[in-house]
Amino acid sequence: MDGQIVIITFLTIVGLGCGVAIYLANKFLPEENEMLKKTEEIAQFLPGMNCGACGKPGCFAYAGEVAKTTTTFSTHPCQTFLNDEEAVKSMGDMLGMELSGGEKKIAIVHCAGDSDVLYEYEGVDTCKAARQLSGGYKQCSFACLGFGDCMDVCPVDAIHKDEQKRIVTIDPEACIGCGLCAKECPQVVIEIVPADMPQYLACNYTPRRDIPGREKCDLGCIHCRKCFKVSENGEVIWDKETFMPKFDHELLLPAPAAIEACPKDVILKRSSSKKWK
Amino acid sequence: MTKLKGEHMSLFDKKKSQGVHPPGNKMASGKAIEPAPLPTQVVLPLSQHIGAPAKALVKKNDEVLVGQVIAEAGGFVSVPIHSTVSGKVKKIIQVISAVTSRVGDAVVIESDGKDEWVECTGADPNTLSKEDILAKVKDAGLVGMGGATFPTHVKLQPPKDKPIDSIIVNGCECEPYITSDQRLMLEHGEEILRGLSIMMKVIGCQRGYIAIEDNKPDAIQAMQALIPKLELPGNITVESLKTQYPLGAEKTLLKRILGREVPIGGLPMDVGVVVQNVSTLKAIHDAIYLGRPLVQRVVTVSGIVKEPKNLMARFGTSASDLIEFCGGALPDADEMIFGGPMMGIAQTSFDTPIQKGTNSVLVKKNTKKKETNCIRCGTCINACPMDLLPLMYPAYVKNKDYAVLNEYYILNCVECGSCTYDCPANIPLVQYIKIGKAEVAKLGVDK
Repeated sequence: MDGQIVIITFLTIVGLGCGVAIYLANKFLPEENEMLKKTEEIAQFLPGMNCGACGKPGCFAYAGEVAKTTTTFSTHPCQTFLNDEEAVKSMGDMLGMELSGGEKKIAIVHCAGDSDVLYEYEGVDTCKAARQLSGGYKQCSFACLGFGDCMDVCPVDAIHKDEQKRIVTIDPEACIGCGLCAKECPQVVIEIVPADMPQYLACNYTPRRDIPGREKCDLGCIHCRKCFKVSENGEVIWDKETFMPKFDHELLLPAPAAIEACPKDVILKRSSSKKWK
Repeated sequence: MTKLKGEHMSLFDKKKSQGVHPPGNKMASGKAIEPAPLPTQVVLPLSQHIGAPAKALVKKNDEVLVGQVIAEAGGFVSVPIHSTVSGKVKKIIQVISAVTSRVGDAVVIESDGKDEWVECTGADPNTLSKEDILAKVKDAGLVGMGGATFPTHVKLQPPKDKPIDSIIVNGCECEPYITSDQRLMLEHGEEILRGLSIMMKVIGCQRGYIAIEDNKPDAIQAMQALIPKLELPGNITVESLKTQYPLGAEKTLLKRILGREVPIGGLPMDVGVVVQNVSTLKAIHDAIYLGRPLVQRVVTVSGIVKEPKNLMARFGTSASDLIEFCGGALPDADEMIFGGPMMGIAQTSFDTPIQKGTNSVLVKKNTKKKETNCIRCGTCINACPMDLLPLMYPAYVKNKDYAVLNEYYILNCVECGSCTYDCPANIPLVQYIKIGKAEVAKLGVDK
């Protein structure tokens, strides 16, 4: 009987002691608590997809970094958040600073997928593995290989396989421009561009001469410079290293003449771009 | 003590040796080396070796002779490339390397059929200084001909803080089908030993081992008989080793012969050893005694061809020409591999040119098995000669967790293929490891 009383008394004292300790901690360690509160408030405005494109383990971890220092917005930009003007405004109000939303971006695939198959690849189903064997199973060794390494990392499932052409296509509506796919692509065929890009080149074949046995496809850029010659106001920039046309990412000039002039019809119009109005 | 399959084996039994035992299939072992017919046209890629690609020195329509330098070394870890036929430069094209997937230049030369050589003046190595020998080796375009194609002159100049005490001559040829090194030892043993002697002089060591697997008793006998006859300086012995794959991998080999283990991420020179292939030694002999640059090598053509042969082929010869010379491939052949079946690389076309590292052209029928799930049986761990845990790699590669791969020492893998060969679930482990290695290397660059 005595033993039981000792035990009950002991546990009660321990319980009370812990209660007091928690109360004191709550009272005298307010900074931690405030940090957590701030993090939670910031996290409200973040997308909450935990895609990891910013380089942090998730949205809550990102919010924690922002709570520490707001320079995180520029060092590790969250593209999805910056695209959302309302969220940016509310966040700016809350933090008492002026935040400017980023330009909406989007991923595009520089390949039209017309290349013939050179050999039947039978290894591990990833582009990374397929690429290691003579630069891919397609005749064009710069083409999209279509195994969908990029699909695995896309946080919003915006990438789909085109089984017939064996390439991937990106849904411009769903894409948030986070850039994870471009980092993942071993063929470097995906590029992140402003969402209002009026047109893009659907080819990635950079060598100036044909590689015997690895000829470019019917829809390949032939480096003829016709698009560059017809563009009078600098819509098309000629990249002297790759010998391919490029389009300015800031001016975003529509180049209807260049699209018309391309003998291979490989400059594709993006009709969803606002610049065409 | 050998244990039979299925017999109880304690988990903590110390493994005697690691590796696998694929069937030898050395079909061409009894065939003497034959010169292959002169090619009508050769394609010579400028990057046939590890290191910087060579820089082209010739233009279209230039006349060249056999052995003429057509591209100079592009750096210290690089070698020149020589023309392998006499004739006219037809064009310079771009090719994609099967190994690195990089685009590089290649020189196409049309043969005039005369086979005229440039003037080659040999010399006695005893009259040459160490620097002269190194310069001659570099000018001859020598690379490691076992398959790794590392420039030989670099291997012959180990850093001063790493003293070398022994040289191991790799005549193991553990890959199935390949017999080029065996035939070389039987027919050109003297050249190999003289090459070894030159190498020992340059490096300045007294001990030479000639490692041969015991499935080639004729080669062991031939080499043993030659050593006393030539009266070479230094202590050279023939080591007969129990056949096992991958004994020809340099790290496995020196562990077996000398009991030394190469440190993680290290090279054999870290433990005072240089390992050199027999074909390279013959090439060193030719470069010094005859003054001949590297323009040809022994290539085993085997697999499902009518008549497997060992051919002395010029670099740049199309593989289909060699197969044709061996009576052609049998009708069900649909795959061609440069190298052995374990580590070789499948080629995209039968017309791929022979290169400095091509020791074998293997024609086979594709037998692809369906990959199933890993049952974590540990067979791959028993097979791994480098004491790695291959079963961990596919999972981390699939989940793109590349940083962890480094903690499992993925860069130590020699890609011998033993784990893939033994895997009961048919998982292409080496392919996953290759992806992982490339990604881990990229991580290193980012940091």
